[in-house]
Amino acid sequence: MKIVVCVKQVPDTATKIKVGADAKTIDSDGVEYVISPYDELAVEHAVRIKENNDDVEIVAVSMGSADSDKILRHALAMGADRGILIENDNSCDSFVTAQSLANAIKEENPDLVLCGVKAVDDDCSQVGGILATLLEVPFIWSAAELSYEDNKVTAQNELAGETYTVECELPCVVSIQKGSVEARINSLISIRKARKKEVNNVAATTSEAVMQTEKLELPAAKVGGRIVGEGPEAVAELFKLLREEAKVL
Amino acid sequence: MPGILAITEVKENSFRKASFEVVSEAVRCAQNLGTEATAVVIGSGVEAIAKDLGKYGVKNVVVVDDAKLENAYTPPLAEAIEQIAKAKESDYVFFPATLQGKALSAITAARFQRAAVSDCTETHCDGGELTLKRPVYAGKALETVKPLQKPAFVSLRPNVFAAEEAATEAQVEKMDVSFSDKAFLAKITDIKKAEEQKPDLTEAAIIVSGGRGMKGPENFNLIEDLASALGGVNGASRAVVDAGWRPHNEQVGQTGKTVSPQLYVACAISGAIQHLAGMRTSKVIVAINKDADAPIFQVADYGIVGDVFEVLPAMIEEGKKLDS
Ligand SMILES: Cc1cc2nc3c(=O)[nH]c(=O)nc-3n(C[C@H](O)[C@H](O)[C@H](O)COP(=O)(O)OP(=O)(O)OC[C@H]3O[C@@H](n4cnc5c(N)ncnc54)[C@H](O)[C@@H]3O)c2cc1C
Ligand SMILES: Nc1ncnc2c1ncn2[C@@H]1O[C@H](COP(=O)(O)O)[C@@H](O)[C@H]1O
Repeated sequence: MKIVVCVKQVPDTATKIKVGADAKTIDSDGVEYVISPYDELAVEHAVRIKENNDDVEIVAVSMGSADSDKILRHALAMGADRGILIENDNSCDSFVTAQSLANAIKEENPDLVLCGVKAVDDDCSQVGGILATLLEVPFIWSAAELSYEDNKVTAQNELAGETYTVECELPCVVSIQKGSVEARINSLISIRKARKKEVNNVAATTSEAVMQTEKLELPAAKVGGRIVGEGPEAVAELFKLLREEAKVL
Repeated sequence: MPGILAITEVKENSFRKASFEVVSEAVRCAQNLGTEATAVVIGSGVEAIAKDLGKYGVKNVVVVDDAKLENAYTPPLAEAIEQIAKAKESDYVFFPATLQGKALSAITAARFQRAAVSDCTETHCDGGELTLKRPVYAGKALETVKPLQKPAFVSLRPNVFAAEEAATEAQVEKMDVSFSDKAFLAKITDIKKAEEQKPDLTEAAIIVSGGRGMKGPENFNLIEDLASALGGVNGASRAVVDAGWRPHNEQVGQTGKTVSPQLYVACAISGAIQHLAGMRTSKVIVAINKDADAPIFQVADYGIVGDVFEVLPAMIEEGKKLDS
């Protein structure tokens, strides 16, 4: 069985975002890039399936600048077998991204494709669904838990207080969200081993953009926030403000 | 006439709240663009509720009511929407940006070789074209996006757009669509209800969240009691979820849920950038923290500096008075 995991490099979640000179992208100066947290969970799920089954190969795929090699190595250290880097320096929309990923993934002919529920830079939650459609396989979205048995995956997802179980035979695409599974911490030995694993560079396919960013800006800073008071004595005043000024109660 | 389709989300034969917001916003945008909005209801046994959407000002409702859709998963819904959008020659298709809505918008848009503009918080209709604003980098920045071709697909963040009532006699049109066998390959095999039915965090109007300063899981009854006194639901910071004090589906933040309720009460939460990412678009933020310098106060509208174990009981008391 072959599993492809899509991983994207994103600014570290603690990054303070600055808008770049073009007013359309961020100023990447000094930004530290990491594997998107949900993609890291997707790798973890893939590695667990590999640990519990014979003959599983995991291929990590990333589209991005040449330094995406770093997050591919991270996935390799976690247990992926090899990597594919689709080199592309320009940011592109979800459709164009999914198209390039789909073309690379088709070559691999995997049984299962895992991705994150969203990349925490563009926060789109789009690529997985588009990818599945382009690969003409079913899409299971937002799996908090995932198990594999007899050529079938079972995913669980909690929505509005209900737990949904979804089943699907392979091949399919599953997007992963946070559940009980946590990503493992790479040991020095695994990091060293990952350096020797194979990463192939391939070219991105060019296709027509479907949307365009006109502007990137910072949200307006909060004004007028205030400390109502100290301790329980301030509670009555707080409720009065919530009722009469903010009108939310 | 090419117009806007507003896709609704139905659960157990009633509309999820975000559906009304999407219908209402579609009606407003259609007015600004000089075109018409059509609401779409898809499911099994949903015909009876379709007319109710007239309450939100929409004149046309398309219904796909098919027994095959009983507990169906997302792909057949995408096939139905594709056929409706083609039949109506729609320019725009709006979805609620719920987890399902975002997945559905992605697979539907891809069938048209498009991407959907996801989780938008503002729509602008200039010169007959729609541009959208959406938070990126977990709300640390805002992006203005323009779709380049039509139809364009857009999902709207729940709780952001007003569901305005404007009583209208809605015309309901039943439509038959065909489904491929492939659409049913992924199946919902079980739905387990929690003992207590609470609205989803992403839809709740009031959220009370607790952080590490709550000291232990045994103290979260204070959070739950305040939430229920205010008629809201409870959330948590990641520190609390990682410690195993609360279930992961309560986590608010960059790697948890993104929420924008009317009122968000952060109790003993420091306000780390990843937590703010999930809740900074809330209409009104209240923070209770014993540290006057905690970063949460920088985004709070109202703050109380104090010990949660003294302040929360007083808030619960005050909250209980609201009912009477
Ligand atoms: C990749 C990544 C993703 C992350 N995603 C998320 C996320 O989605 N959501 C999230 O929340 N965090 C997330 N974090 C973690 C985040 O950085 C913080 O560690 C976390 O939010 C801290 O939780 P906290 O505020 O509950 O705890 P702390 O930071 O420990 O703050 C506790 C607060 O309680 C106050 N306090 C203590 N005792 C009392 C008392 N008796 N009365 C009143 N106040 C008191 C303290 O003054 C302090 O401000 C993420 C981190 C990383 C690296
Ligand atoms: N450039 C990329 N390279 C690899 N995977 C990606 C890329 N962009 C998105 N993905 C995958 O698609 C998921 C959803 O991304 P998005 O739709 O951008 O929020 C991510 O969590 C990744 O698994």
